[in-house]
Amino acid sequence: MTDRQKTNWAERGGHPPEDDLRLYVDGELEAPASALVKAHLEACWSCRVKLDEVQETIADFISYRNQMLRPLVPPPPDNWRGFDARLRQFSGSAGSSSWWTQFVSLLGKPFADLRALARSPLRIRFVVGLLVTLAACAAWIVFDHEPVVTATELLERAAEAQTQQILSASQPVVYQQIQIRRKRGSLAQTETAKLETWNDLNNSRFKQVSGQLSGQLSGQSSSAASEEMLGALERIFQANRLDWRRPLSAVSFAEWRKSLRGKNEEIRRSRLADGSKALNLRTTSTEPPQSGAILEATLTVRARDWHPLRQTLRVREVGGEAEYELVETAFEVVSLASVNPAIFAESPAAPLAATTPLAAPSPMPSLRSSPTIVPAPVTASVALEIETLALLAQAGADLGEQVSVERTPEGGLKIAGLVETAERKQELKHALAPVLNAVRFEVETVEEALRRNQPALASPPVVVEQRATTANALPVEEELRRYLSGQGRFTSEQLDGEVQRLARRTANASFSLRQRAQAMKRLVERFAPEQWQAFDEAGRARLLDLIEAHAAAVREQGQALRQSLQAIFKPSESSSAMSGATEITGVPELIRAANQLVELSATSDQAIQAAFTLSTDGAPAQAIKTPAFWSALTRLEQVAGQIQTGVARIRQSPQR
Amino acid sequence: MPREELKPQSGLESATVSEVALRLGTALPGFSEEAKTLEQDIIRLFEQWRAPIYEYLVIVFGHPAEAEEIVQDAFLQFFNALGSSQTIHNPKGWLFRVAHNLALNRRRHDKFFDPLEAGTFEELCHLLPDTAPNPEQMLLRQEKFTRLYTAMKRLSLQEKQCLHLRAEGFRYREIGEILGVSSDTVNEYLRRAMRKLREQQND
Repeated sequence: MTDRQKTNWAERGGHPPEDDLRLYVDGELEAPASALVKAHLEACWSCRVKLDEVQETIADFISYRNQMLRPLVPPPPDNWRGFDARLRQFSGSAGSSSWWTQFVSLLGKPFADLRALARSPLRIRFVVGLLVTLAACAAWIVFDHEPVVTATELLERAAEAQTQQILSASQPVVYQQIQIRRKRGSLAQTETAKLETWNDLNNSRFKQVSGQLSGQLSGQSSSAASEEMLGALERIFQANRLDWRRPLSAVSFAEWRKSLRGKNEEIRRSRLADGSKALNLRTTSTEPPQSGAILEATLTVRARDWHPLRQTLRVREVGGEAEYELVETAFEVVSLASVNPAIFAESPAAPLAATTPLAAPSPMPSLRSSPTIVPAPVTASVALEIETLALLAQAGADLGEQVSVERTPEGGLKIAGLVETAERKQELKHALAPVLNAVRFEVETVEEALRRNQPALASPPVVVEQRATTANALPVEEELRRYLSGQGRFTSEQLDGEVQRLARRTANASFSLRQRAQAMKRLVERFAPEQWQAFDEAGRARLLDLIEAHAAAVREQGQALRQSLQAIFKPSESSSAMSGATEITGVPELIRAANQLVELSATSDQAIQAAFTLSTDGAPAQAIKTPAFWSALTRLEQVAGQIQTGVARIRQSPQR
Repeated sequence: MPREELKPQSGLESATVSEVALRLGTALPGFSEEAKTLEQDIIRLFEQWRAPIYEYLVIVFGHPAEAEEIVQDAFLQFFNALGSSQTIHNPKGWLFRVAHNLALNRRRHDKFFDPLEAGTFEELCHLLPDTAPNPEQMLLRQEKFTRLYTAMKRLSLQEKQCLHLRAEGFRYREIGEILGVSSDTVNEYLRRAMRKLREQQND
């Protein structure tokens, strides 16, 4: 029994604290303490009743989970389809099996006996094969009538397409002209207006000009009425989390959609006036209607390039409903140099704050009301620093998000950084709860940072990690297409989508691998070798755990990536060059290996990004087909493996 | 605190697992014949374990379609790891850990967070399939569940994760491995979670 436990018992007049009772029933107390609790329970009525209460809480949670939550989990939408085939692909890339065995096993267990047929005469094989093919085709026709695209996908694609377009300009300024029309009441009263917006993305400047439609009949809509309508619309945008700075955009629409508790959605195909295809998303809120709330919204995007063209909003008003229609009449991404400087002259960044649509972050339950593990020290211990790092890692905040743990001049710890949404900030706060009153938490949302108008924040960090694949041809389109159609699982219509999906998945996997490697390097380099000597045992083990977890993840993900790429590209020989395998026995080698890992992951990621996303210059896209690429990828796994072994070795080596 | 390998769980699962584990060490490089049986083993494990992992992901993170894909991805990584002669002593814990991390990765892009309990209690009741207990039983439980629902709302993501993983039969240390925290931290999360549930009970 630890000293802490002894004190706890003593403070309670010789009774174990409730936590110990839970630990006891959970079998988490060590033998001597457990025996003591057991003996005490036999003797003590009060504690037996307390124990029952603990059990009751557990029982309540379990019945809630089993009777309430689990029945709500929908069956997997694809009914686990495709796993066997993906597994074949994986193993296919390592070994080889014939088309026949692949085919039979693709059909899964119910048809497993057919395997025996593989050895029967050729003719029977042929007939059975034909029948099975027909059955499979029929199955596909029956099961595969899902819409081409989901609402989330549609919005994502549209947002990605726009990002890509914006990235194509240096110092981009987005210009959009929109025509707005409102219908309300039974009188079919209509107001119209025109809205022009300029967004200077690099300098966070924004300018909006409203006016009447040109060529409008006088008297139909006075300028005062237009102003009133735009004011009303802006309030609706603010109340519904839409972005007034980007009045007609997928990103803004997605924000509103995300804020809904309940919704119905449908997507339809339609044709535009010029005959080209479009997709129509209609989202209907199922929340109880409140005044000022959007009841239903639609977004129309051009199918060719996912560009949003029209948006309608049906809004609840006092005494009725109003319908707003926003139609894009012009859109351009231009470079700042070509914009008349007078446009942004009068209002540097000010309108941002004035029109920020986000509501203030919701109040969160006080975390400080509960006792925390760590008391607030003046100088933060290394153990606290490591625990903080571990909690951040667990929340996934060490992979590319701009969140860091820093030492303050007084020696305390500060968590500083920038996250995208208020929700994410709350989440980090929750994740860090155990250490929160020992460290300073200075994480801001992008919105907050912009509001402070910090000059240091020259470029908004919004698009840093978005990897957009576009609807156009990819450098390795041909290989992907051949590979996927070789599987025979997709119809030619599905194939386009699958190619994009595979490309996106590969690019994301590679990027996340690179972030892992970087996160590990940061951890390894955080403490100087001398500091390592000074760690206490628990802190050292914790840090090593973190490093090992990253290394293991790099290795696993690297391997998965390599095998799926091998299946696609079938490189002539898998290079297994195990060159310069230095053993890692201490921290300096560990640091060296971590740096090597970052370089390797950067090399392979560059090649993969060039091949799997649309690039402006075609040449580097071929890097993926060079032996150098494959050996970098192989080497990556080896180094990650060395780090894992090295960490194990360091863990066992006695601390001086 | 030296890190120990997780112990295999008892019963059927560990039998299957050790079979796989045995096969694994020798799987490479004479792969193709061995791999066929390894594949079959993986498919069997997949059928056994996909449901709890999927349920966990949907309850905690939401998005059934993403969850389904993540479970598949986790098993493919599992297959990979075994194929490269790594020894995995606690496959279930390993799979949960990998699935959990994959889910976290996606969440950072904010495309993957819509936990099951996001709606109001009435909405949830409304969504319950008819196979749930009969109306009378439901009414009796209604009061209790309303309170539990309110209490669960106060839990942090990590606290919920710990409860659900514990309900899946993981020990504190295993939960720690899955979430990437120490078992002391798991204990602290569970302590808070239990306290919040209790407070609601006594109201």
